[in-house]
Amino acid sequence: MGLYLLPAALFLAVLALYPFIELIHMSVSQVSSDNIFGDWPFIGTAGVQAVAVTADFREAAVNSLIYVGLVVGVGLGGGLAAALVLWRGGPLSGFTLALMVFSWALPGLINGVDWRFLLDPRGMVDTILSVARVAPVYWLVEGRLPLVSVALVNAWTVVPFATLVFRAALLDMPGEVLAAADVDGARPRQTLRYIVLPLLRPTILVLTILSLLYAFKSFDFIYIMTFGGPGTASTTLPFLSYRLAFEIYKFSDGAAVAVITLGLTILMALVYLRSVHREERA
Amino acid sequence: MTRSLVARTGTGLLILLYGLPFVWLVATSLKSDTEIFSATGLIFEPTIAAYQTVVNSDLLHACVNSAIIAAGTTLLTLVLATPAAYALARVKGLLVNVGLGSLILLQITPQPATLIPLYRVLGGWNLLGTQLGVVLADTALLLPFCVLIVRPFFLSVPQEVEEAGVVDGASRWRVFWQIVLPITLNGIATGATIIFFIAWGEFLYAITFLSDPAQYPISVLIAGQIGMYGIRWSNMMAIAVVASLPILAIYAFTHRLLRDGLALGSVR
Amino acid sequence: MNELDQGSSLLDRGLSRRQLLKGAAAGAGSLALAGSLAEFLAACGGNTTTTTTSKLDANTAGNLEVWHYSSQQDVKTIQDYSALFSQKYPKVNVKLTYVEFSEMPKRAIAAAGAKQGPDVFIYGGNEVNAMYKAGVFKSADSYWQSFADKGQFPDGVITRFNNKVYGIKGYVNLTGLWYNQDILDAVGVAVPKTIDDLNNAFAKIKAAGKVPIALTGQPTDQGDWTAFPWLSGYGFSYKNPESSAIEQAFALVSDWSKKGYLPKESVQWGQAETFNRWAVGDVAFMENGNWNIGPASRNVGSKFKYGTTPLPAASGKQGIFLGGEALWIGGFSKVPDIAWAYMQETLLSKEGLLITLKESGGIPARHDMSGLPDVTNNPLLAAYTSEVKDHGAEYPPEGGAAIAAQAVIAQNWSAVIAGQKSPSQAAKDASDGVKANYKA
Repeated sequence: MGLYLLPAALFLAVLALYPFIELIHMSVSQVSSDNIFGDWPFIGTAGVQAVAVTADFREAAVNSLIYVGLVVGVGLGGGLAAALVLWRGGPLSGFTLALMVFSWALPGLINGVDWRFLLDPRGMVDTILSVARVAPVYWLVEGRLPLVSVALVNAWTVVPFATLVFRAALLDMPGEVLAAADVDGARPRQTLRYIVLPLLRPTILVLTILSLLYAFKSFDFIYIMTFGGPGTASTTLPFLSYRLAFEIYKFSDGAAVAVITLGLTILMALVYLRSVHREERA
Repeated sequence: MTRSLVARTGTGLLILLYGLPFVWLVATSLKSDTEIFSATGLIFEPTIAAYQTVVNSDLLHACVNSAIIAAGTTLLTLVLATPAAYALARVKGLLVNVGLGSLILLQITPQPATLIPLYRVLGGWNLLGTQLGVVLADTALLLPFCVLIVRPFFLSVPQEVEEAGVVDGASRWRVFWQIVLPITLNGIATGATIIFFIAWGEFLYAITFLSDPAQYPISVLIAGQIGMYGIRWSNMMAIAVVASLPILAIYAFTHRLLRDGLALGSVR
Repeated sequence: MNELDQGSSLLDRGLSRRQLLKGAAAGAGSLALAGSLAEFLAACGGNTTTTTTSKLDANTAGNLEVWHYSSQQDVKTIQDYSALFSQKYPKVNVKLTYVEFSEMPKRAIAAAGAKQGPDVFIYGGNEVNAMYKAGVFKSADSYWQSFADKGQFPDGVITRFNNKVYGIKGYVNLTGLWYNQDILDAVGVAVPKTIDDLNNAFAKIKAAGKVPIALTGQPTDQGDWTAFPWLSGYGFSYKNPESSAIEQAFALVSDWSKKGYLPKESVQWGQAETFNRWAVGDVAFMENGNWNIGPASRNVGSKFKYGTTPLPAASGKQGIFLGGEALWIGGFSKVPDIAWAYMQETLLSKEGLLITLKESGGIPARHDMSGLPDVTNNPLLAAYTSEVKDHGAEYPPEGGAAIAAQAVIAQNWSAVIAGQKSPSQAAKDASDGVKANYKA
């Protein structure tokens, strides 16, 4: 079987693993535009430590947690709700699902550009709100809203995927459970809580991990919609890393932030897995 | 049985939530730049001026470039990922955990962090400024993902099917090629579609590794609209609409495949 | 030392940056790569040598390749001034090659690594120092020293490395204040000269239901470009980032934003969007560059009457960044004499600069053009030409050494306009950030 793995392994070793190792290497060295292609003096974890105590890093870390929480929470919650509404099929459900998955299939570049415009005070959302006499909301400007708005747009693209997965899981369930899960059922809230959700546990687990990994590295929506702003209000860890490396040429600082982010991602995934395990044993 | 109010309302809400943004996108592409800022809503005098400005031989050329890069990436990714996914579905033990673990690790490495090392590798191979270079970089980006998508399809092939083949005296390779692959065609098509879509929208590698504008894919044109000359919204939306059309066309044929195939890895 | 000389000395190392004028956040990744590759190749690259001039005439034949990054409408300008050269040297075949702005340094350096490249660069980005180190440019010093018109150019438009002349900018670009005359007439205010005038005008405009001002509040290099005239007016400089000076400027825009004078969504706008917003017709003022003269006549036309005036400043210390494109001789050009002749006939000549003036509004740097009717009779340009000599400031500031500090200013500028930070907090953060990131 090794032969089947070899081509992909060789390819990834050169074009993916090498860049990954260079990233680690850069994070323990001192690298700026002066020596990016020269010698990299080794400084150990000093660089990582120095970056981790900066106010920029703290702000970005908090922003990242909020961002990831929203993308995972809204993405999965929305996906479950949509799956419960749509799983029974029918032409309209099929069309709705197709429409949703199309949004997921479109490049982030196009979705980001579209939503940046939709969230403008003269865009779609505020225009609709104005019909209900609501004053324009500055979605990408005020307070924590920019971060929340971008996270919600990102969640908007996660929902269709989660819907597909939840839908498949629902369809996999035995008939009687399906009937109980029906939103038309007599007591949907109870059946949902006591029958459907427990059966969906493994699906929720996988989706949580997947969307957690995805949300932690998400970068393009922020890049396109707010460029981390206003000020630094929507700067998350991946964006901070990008900005350090490619806006002000502090390559090793950028690498350090990227490595810390990777570590945090893995840590969160492990903590989550462990708590799930413990719960199962209890 | 009639659908309840909850289901109807929910479906309606989802259609609005996922349909309106596209309606607005198309509507915006039919406005003039000043109208975008002054007029509100969907009531305006449509103009195809933006399309007249952006749809020219350069844009069509960019679409061809996108197709070359996306198709090349899809092909190369499948050639590498399919056997690897098969192996990871058949082997058991430590190797699989290490393999899957490192795939996930590579999967979560931020893309910008790979730019500089890749620049070096491609430079060393004299592939900077070529579409082949971009194809290699995109493949490295998407290969782990593709393996993770396709592997569950191999897992769902019953062992007996293969054992029957082996009993007949077929080599492992022939079993894979003639028995397993045909049954897992749906999975491979699912992977192919997703890889094609992502490669179609990728711009960071393309803008960094290509130098001749004649080689730019359409994603770089969109990213360039954001940056260089500030955003001209109507043009931007028109290009976005044009860039979405090929995806829509492919999606029309593959959406059932995606609907059923995407969930497989997460459910089983 | 008169004011002109002061402005010029500020400009001594002035490397203009068109990217900022027209704005680029998206190219950041490739720009950074370009810079780093430059450093790498700089280690391998040797110094260029100067070449002596020989006589050229109408029979001189050869090929001349020119790299530029002007697309769409702007490329016509280059074709037009290149025609001036072709008239005089009809047997020289000029090839204009478009290279995307952010790709230019990377590609030039990659070519230099292979000892190749064009004969002439038209380039105004901030990577020129790295490009020079990689051997991308050939010194134009010997040509310059024997150039009859060299006295016509202020020192500030000449880029020197190691005391030798390399790049020369024929024209400059900068920001000023645009106004909608119809709105000013309707509410009965005069064109503002001071910040108090401006505030009074804003109050009346707002009361009349119009939008007082549009400007760029992005947390990017475009935001820094827009913020600098206000900040420096209160005494800010990258060498001397007093938080009290920063706070006064921030308090000003914060006040505008809070009172609804400046739309908060301006934190999303680049300079092109700022223009588009103003061109709608319900915005009284915008801070924007002279390069909008052409677009304004095309997009606004006779929809409303408009004009330009210098940006009001709190003090005479105000600095306004100067951009524009410089001409360079390619480091591996085999025909440097012809390359110099091209420079001489195009952007160093009166005729060539008249073309850029008329077609793109670039302000001629030549002393003998400051009194030309085309310059003095164009009321839109007058507000800019006066500022070049009175307030022109080196861009990028501190020879490009303050990039990280500029990012800090842009972020805080953006945060104040959005209302994310109070002026005092933002000023403190900006001052600390500049000090931490730039040491003069």
